[in-house]
Order: sequence, then C-alpha cells, then structure tokens
Amino acid sequence: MRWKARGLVMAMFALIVGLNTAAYGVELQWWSHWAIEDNKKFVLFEVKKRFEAKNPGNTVNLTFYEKANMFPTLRAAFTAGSGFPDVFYYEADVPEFIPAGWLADLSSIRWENVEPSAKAFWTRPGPGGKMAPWALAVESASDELYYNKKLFRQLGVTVPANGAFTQDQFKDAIGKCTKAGYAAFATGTSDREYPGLYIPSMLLLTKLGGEDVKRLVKGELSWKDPRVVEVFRYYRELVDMGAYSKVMTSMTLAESHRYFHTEQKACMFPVGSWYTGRAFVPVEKGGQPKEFELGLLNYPVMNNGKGAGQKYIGYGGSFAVAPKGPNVALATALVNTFADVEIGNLWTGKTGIQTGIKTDVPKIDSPIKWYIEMFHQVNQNTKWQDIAVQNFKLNMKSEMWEVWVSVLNQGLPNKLVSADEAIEKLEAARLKFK
Amino acid sequence: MSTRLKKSILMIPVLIYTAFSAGPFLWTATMSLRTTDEIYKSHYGLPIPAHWGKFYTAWTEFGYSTYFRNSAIVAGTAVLIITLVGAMAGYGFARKRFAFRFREGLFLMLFLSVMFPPQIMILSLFQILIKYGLFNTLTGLILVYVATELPITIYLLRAFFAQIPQELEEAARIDGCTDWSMFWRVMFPMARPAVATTFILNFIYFWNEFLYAVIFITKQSIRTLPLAIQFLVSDQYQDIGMLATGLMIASLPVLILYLFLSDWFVKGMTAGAVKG
Amino acid sequence: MDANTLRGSDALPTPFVGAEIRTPRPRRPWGSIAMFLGPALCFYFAFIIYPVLVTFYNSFHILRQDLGLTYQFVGLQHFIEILTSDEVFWRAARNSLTWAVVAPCIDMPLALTLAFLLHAKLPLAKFFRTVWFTPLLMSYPVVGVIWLWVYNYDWGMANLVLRAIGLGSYAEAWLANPTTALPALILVTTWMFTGFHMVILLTAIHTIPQEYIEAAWVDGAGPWSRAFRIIIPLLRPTIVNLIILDFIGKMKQFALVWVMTRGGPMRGTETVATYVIKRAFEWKTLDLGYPSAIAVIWFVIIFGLSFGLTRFLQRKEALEF
Repeated sequence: MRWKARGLVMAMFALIVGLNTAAYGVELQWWSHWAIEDNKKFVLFEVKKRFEAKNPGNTVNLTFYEKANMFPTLRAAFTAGSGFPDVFYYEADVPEFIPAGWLADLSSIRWENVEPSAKAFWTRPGPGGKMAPWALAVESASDELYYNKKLFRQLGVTVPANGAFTQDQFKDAIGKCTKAGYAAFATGTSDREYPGLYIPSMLLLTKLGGEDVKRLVKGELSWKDPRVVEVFRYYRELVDMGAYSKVMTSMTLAESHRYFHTEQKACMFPVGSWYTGRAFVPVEKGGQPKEFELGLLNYPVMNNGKGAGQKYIGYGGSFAVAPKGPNVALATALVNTFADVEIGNLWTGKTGIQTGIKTDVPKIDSPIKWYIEMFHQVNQNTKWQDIAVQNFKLNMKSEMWEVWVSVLNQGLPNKLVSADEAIEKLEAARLKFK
Repeated sequence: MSTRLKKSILMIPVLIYTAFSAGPFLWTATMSLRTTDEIYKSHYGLPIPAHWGKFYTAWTEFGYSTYFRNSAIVAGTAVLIITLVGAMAGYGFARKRFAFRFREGLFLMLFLSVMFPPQIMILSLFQILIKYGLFNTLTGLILVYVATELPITIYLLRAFFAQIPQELEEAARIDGCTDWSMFWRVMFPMARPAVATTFILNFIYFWNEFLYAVIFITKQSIRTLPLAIQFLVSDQYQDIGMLATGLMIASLPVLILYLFLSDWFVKGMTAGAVKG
Repeated sequence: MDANTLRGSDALPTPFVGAEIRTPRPRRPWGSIAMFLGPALCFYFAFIIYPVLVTFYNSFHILRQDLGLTYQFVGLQHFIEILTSDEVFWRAARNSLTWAVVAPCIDMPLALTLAFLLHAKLPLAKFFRTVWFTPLLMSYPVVGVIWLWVYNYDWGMANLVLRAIGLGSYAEAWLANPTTALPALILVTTWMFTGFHMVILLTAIHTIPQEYIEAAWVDGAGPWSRAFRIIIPLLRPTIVNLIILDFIGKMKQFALVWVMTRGGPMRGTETVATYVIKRAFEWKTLDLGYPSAIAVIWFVIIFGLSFGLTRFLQRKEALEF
C-alpha cells in the first residue's frame, strides 16, 4: 500500500512540475542597438512576434541600447560569465568577440534564405581557429553621398548626368556651399569613429580602384604611394575651404542627420545607406521633413582614377547568440526567425536599406518606393566593392585602425595635421604594425 | 562710503555667482515641465502650460520607477550598514579603554585609504565579485559602497566619540553596563548629531554614485538612477524634455533631504575638514 | 580596598558585603575590541586591502578575459610598455595633472572671496549658502547632461550669455575643440565644488576667536590687511586640507568625462581613470593586466604627489590627522 501511495504522490508531483515548467516557459533576453530607429525596431518586433507564435510559452524581452554603451557592458558580462543576454546585436565594431568565443556557431539556421556573401562575411576564425558563421547579417549598407536638392538648386550647382562630380566640379560645388555659409558635409564625429572617414575613403576608391584600396587597408600598399598622397592633399584643400561644419566634433550621428535634413545647414551628407532607417520616420521622432528633397550622388571621381563608378558596400547590424547562455537552442531559433524572405522584404520595405537576407524585390511593399527607385536609378551602373568604410576595421590591424581613425576622423578634418603629416603617421604605423 | 552702499556693491558678485550656481539647474527644472517640441521652438521659455504628467510618464513608461527603487534599496541598505559598522568602529578607535599597541597605526592605515583612487581596486573588485557570485547584484554593490566609505565615516565618528568625557562612561559602568549595552544605550544615542551627518553624507554619496555602478551592473532591471541617466542620454538624447524630467526625478530626493536638513549637512561636512 | 581597585580598573569598590563580586576585568577587553572593530576591519581587508593586493598581482600578468580570467605571467612588461611607449597614458596623465593643479587654483580663491563676502554680514547669507552648495548634491551623470546642454553651440546657456553681452565672437563649440574641452570640464567641477569649499571656509572663519579680529581692528588695520594678515594665515590648515582633497579628487576624475566627452575630442579630456576603464572594456586586447598596471603606476604617483604637496604646503609642520 505504501508503495502505491508513494508512487502516486510522486507521479502527481512530476505532473505538477511538468505542467508548471511547460506553462512558464523561458523568457529570452534580447539586446539590440537602434533604440531610436523605429523602422528597424518594427522589424525586430515582428520577428519577436513570429518567434513567440511559433514557440508558445516562451517570451522574448527586447531591450534597446546605444551600441557604445552596449558593447562594453556585454564585454564585462561575458568576462563575468553572467548578466549577458541570449541574443544580441553584433557588428564589426568589436571583432575581438569572435576569437574570444562569445558568439555561438550558427551553422544550423536556414542559410538558404540568406545571401551567400552575408554568410561569408561572418564566417571567420573563431576560438581555436574554428571556422563557422557566427552571426546573421540583417543590415547591409553601402556608403553613400546624399545631397540637398533644394540647396544645390539655390546655389547653382548642377549634378552631372551620371551622378558623379569630377575632381574640379566637386571642389567647385563645395566652394559654392561654403561661400554661402553652409557646410559642405553634415558630418558629426562626436560619438562614432568613422563619419570623418567617408569622404577620404570615397576619394581613395575612385583614385585607386577597389583592389588597390583593399591592399592599402591590409597594409600591403604604401601610404606614400603618389596617388594616395595626391588624394590626401586634395582632401586637405577641401577641409581648408571649410567643408566641415564648426560643430563637427561635438555633433553626434543622430544630430548630424538633423543638421542635414531639418536644419538644412549642409549641402551634402556622406553616410551609410542606413540613413533611411533614421530619416524615414515621423518628424517628431527625428525623421526628415516631408518637404525635404533628398538626392543621391555617386562618388566624385579623381582625375586619372581607376575606380570611377565604384562604391563600398558591407554588412552592418547583425545578430548573434551567446553560447554560454542557458537557452542556446531557443536563442538560435529566434535568430533563425530572421532567415526568411518575408523578413528580408519587410526590412527593405520598411527601412529602405539593403539586407543580407534574400529578398524578392517585386514583392516589396513600401511607402518609400520613390527612394528605392531613385537608389536603383543612381546606382544602376555601380560596381560594388565588398568592403565598407566601417568595415576597414575588420581588415586592418587594430593599432593601425586606431591611427587611421585618429588621423582621419579627428586630425585631418580638424586641421590638426597637414596632409603630409597624416601620410607620415599612417606609413609609420603601417611599418610598425606589420 | 556708507555701509549700505558698500554692502550693495558687495551684493553684485554674490548675485552673479548665484546666477551661475543656480542657473543651469533652474533651466533644467523648467525644461522638465515642457515637451521636447516646445523646447526646440524656444529653449528658454517658461513652462506654461506645465506638463506635470511627464513625471508620471517617466515613472511608468521610461522605467524610472524601477531605477528609483533600485537606488533606494542600494542607498538605504548601504547607509544602514555603514552607520552601524562605522559607529561601532569609530567608538572602538576612540575610547581609551580599547587602546592597544597597533590601534593608532591601524587607524592611520584605514584613513590613508581615503586617498586610494578607485582604479586601484575596481578591476580586481570586478574579478573578485565575479568569483563570489556578487557581480551584477545589488548586494555586491552595497558591500563595495559600504567598504569604500567606511574610512571617512569612521574618521568622523571617532572624532566625535573621542570627545565624550571619561566620567560619563565611568558613571554608566557603575550601573553595571557591559561594553555592548554601554554603546547602544549610552554612546550611540548621544552621537545622534554626528551619526545624522554621516548618515546624510553617505546617503547622498550612495544615491549619486556612478563609477562602481557602471562597472558592476549590466542588467537593466537593477540599474540605479545615475546609470539609467547615462544610458538614456545616449539612447534618447533627442528627447530633451523627457531627459530633463528624468534628471529631476534622479536629483529631487537628495535635494529635498538637503533643504530640510541643511544644518546637519554643514556640520557634518565641516567636521572633517575644518582644522582650527 | 579590594583587588579591583588596586589593579586600577574603573569599577568602584563594592560597598558592602554580599554585593556582587566583580571578576577582575582584563586590562584590555579583547572581546569587545573585536566586536566593535571587527566588522569594519573585515570590510576593510576584504574590499579594500585584498583588491589592492590583487591589482598589484594582476599588473604583473596578462589576465585573459576570453579564457575565463586565467593568468599569464609577464613580469614588468606592462610597466615598461606604459612608461615608454604609451602615448595615450602620458596624454591622460597630463590631462589629469592639469585638472588637479588648475582646479584648486581657481576654486580656492573664489571660495575664499565668497566666504569673505558672506562673512561681511550681507543679508540672506543663509539662503546664498544653501544655493551655492546644491551643485554638489547632484550625481555626475545629471551634472554632465545639464552642462552638455549649457555648452551646446547653438542654444546653450554659455554661448547665449556670451552673445547677450556682446562677446558673441568668442562663442565656441566648447566641447568640440580639443583646446577648450578640458577647461570647459574644469569649469564644471569648479561649479560643483566651490560652494562646498566656501561653506567649509566660512565655518572656519566663524571659529576664529572674535578677539583676534577686533584686536587688529583696534590697531587700525583695514579690512584688506585684516583678511590677508590675520584671517587667511589662521585658516591655513583648513585651506591646505581642502587643496589636497581637491587635488586628489581631480586626479581620480572619471564620471564627468565619461558622460560628457568620453575622453574626446582627440583625447583632449582623457583622464587616467577613463583610460583604465577603456583599456579594460573597450580595447582589442582582452586583457585586464595592462590596465591594472596603469592603476598601480597612477596610485604611486598620486600618493607621492599628495605627500609632496602636503609637505610643501605645510612646510615644517608635520602632517596631522
């Protein structure tokens, strides 16, 4: 009798525990960047919804951070082995996370729905040299040069038919802007390492061509190459003309968007094509005004340049899974929810930005179709180079990147170094950190 | 020159400094009651209409209720612990009865640690807290806070306990007091002024502390107010109105405490630094 | 007389037979000492001394963040690298030192002046004292955000005031310019701490016996010489204490920079404290040993300079606590 009673009690206990576990499920923690980018958040919330529908009983807690705060916090949490999320936003800003073993192997997700180049981008040597795809690249962005159509009209600047200024036309356009009291570029460098890098990188690309730029970035080509020197000197001339605004070093990325499309104090804006994610939101949230006339250029072509018509493209915001978390399988399933053509279409339709997920262009339903069409029209002959300004970081030694940023995001645009001094520093760093 | 005129002239720099001192905060206070749109249209307008509802929105939607609660838990618990431990130690270091050979040396060592820059401890504390499972916990933060402010608390309380006349102690001992009851029934109640001042000092410090919090806390649910402000600044920098409201929520408790108890403050802060 | 009195205990002799016989009290009540001092010393050794020792230990190793904080001995490698080839460290050290030296030079004279002004029996002294003290009550993130707005180029209070009084041409993007960024931050800490110094000085002035001042007045000394020849010398110990506290405080400065400029522009506001944290949590090398070495070096520098400064300011007087 006693055995039966005990058995019954244990069975009931097991049933109650089992029911409770099934009922409670798991709450996944998801940290993401893009706190103020509503269009992208929309897509993330859609993914959350789909995941929760497919995995009933499990919920997702999505919190937003500014990535400059998120990455050090993540790092401390990973080092500590606690306090980290299940899924997190990942980017080329912190390449050291991969060999440290802080990203889980995502080989099991539906890569057939993802562009091969997106998978290849994050397939890098991880801990112990293991090769695997460590993150899913959701955001793909090219480096673009936008302009204010109204200002150009007012100042009498005509954009050539192919969308690219020649070296002299570019200088001329900048001159017209600065003389009228505007800045030529709405760049703000206070909270990011790369905004000041766009223009010189674009000029280097059209002068050297993609192959040589890659060699330069990897340290195989000397900075003293006469073509590089020529680009730097020309660029310094532009800086001296007042191409950047006075408040460049204190403007954040978000403020520089505002500077360009709301305050309209600058003619052009070199920025990633994720500009649209921030600009095509309601005005109260920092979006561009309805009357703002957005234009798109191709990179200005240096004389005797090999890279006319080329542009940079790369992968930005991606998502990864923490391998030491308690819910790796579920977390991977959450990331897997992104790997779907519908999500790819939703992303591009909502944000106007390219994506690493495969898309079915005719099926994209979007309120900003005019932009997508303009984008394709300007870029119809563009030869995309698979390296982006922000992603130079993945190919440069970190000490070299430090010098590159300090010279070109801070030094040169603030007239703190001359073009030749900049070249000296870069070459010295290249030889030192070989 | 008449005294009246002299005094009026002297008032000018005083008023200028007052404007400098109070201006930025008053400006923030007005912004906390206006919406971001209103602010962008005119940065220095008066809060008419005053949107008191923003405080409620900040409390509920922006998570300030959680951060406030966390700050209250941390500051409240830490201040209780440090007052008890600090008073006991201050008493122990002060009375002749407890003197032993190394006592003064020990006290000097304790006091010198006031000069330690936090960096000499913070990375290893990070390591230690991880090892003992106190990383990312309010408990760990509370313990660190108590330890870092103990030296100065002990210094202040020791100064007070040292000046209690020996006769008082002897009189109480006749009545059959043990050391323990002597302390709790006689000494500690007498030390109310000094204890109150260290209580307030420590509370302000713990409420406002930022460096240790930013390194030891990564979970959003246990962030304290200073941490929350820092994270919100970068996320929501555009939303100046809501930020200003948040700043007010973070600062008001301490300010209100100060306004009611400003005399205690002054006494406490001057006790340590004045040398006559 | 019984044995207790002979031993000098502080118990009075038992007055009559049958009363409770007191056991001889030990000369030192170790039990009580342990009880009163114990908890504090536990905290002290566990959370202050032990971590300091661990930091020293760490500075001789590479502490691998990616391998669960495992150690790798490297001897003096970190120290050599910091002292010989780390430009950022020297820049940060220069910034911190500048801050620590300039700040007292500005806020002490200012605080003294304000203390004298209030001492001259101006009306509403208590009100002013209260207002001037409040900047210290806000946390650094709050102060940082407020002053970010004050320093805004387009609509901040700083440039507004300059433009209003006709000095508009001096209006700057204060935090954007590498040369003005650090002075701008120094102004913020001055704003915070001057009130505190003033309150202390004012209290100190009040403790000066009235006779001294009256004697000088009788001798025909005007207010200026009263101030300089009598009051300030008497305040010297207090002033010295405040300067040293200020100096040490500015050498440790982290929070304000972290919220306002994060060390920029171009490391113009980088302090040793912010550099240590960046090196620990924002650097390609996942190593806690190097920043520990920086902390050790800085610790030695602060101690050395504090003692030196104290000696210098107090001349022959010994350091008193």
